[in-house]
Amino acid sequence: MLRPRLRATPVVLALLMCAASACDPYSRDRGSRGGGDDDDGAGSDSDDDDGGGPSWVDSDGDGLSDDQEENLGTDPEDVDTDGDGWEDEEEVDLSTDPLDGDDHPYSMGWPIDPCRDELSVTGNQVGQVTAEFELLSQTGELVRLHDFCGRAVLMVTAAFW
Amino acid sequence: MVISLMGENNFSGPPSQSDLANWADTYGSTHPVLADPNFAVTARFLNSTSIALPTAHLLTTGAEVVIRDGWPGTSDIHNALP
Repeated sequence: MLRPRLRATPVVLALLMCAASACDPYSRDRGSRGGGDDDDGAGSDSDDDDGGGPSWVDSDGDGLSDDQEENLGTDPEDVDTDGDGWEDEEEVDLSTDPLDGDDHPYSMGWPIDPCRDELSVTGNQVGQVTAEFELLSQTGELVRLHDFCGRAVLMVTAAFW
Repeated sequence: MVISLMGENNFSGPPSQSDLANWADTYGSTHPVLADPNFAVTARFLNSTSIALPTAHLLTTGAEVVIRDGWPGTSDIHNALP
């Protein structure tokens, strides 16, 4: 499956932030993943030996802490709780449901906006909010119109003949 | 965001995935190319009972209709952008 290469971005940003200030391994959010990679010699991301901020435990190394996974309802020991081929953190970042195997990012990297389930349909006249549709795409995936709710959409209708 | 809605294949039937994929490959389209069998979705936006192809419909953020069954100009598109 083709996947958008978005996961390196937070890592790069985190490195740049570390370069600009002292790095606190307990203050990080997403971007650092995997156990024992915090270079403190303790061999785990769960150590809290600075006596300071909250500990970071990411048992499955998917970039979401166990606490975050508990809040989301995902399995903290499974990188892909719903088994759809997309890691839990990817689904959270790309606004799909990590608990629904039928809901995952598009293979072509088409955007999914967080507002997609928040629209109140009013009609199809100018100024009204048009109804959802779900149509077959060239990839075989079903595409939902409201996934693009955060942007302008130009729909061009044609036929092959 | 651009979406192509294809109402019929070369034989006036509903487009299959391979129809859509072949068309996207031929024209190098990386945006969604979608099957709209019998122009059912397109019919929402038509101003009459007949269809003149191609036609276009412009939405702004929140899926709000800006232009139905027309051909938006550059300024229309700019105005619809968030």
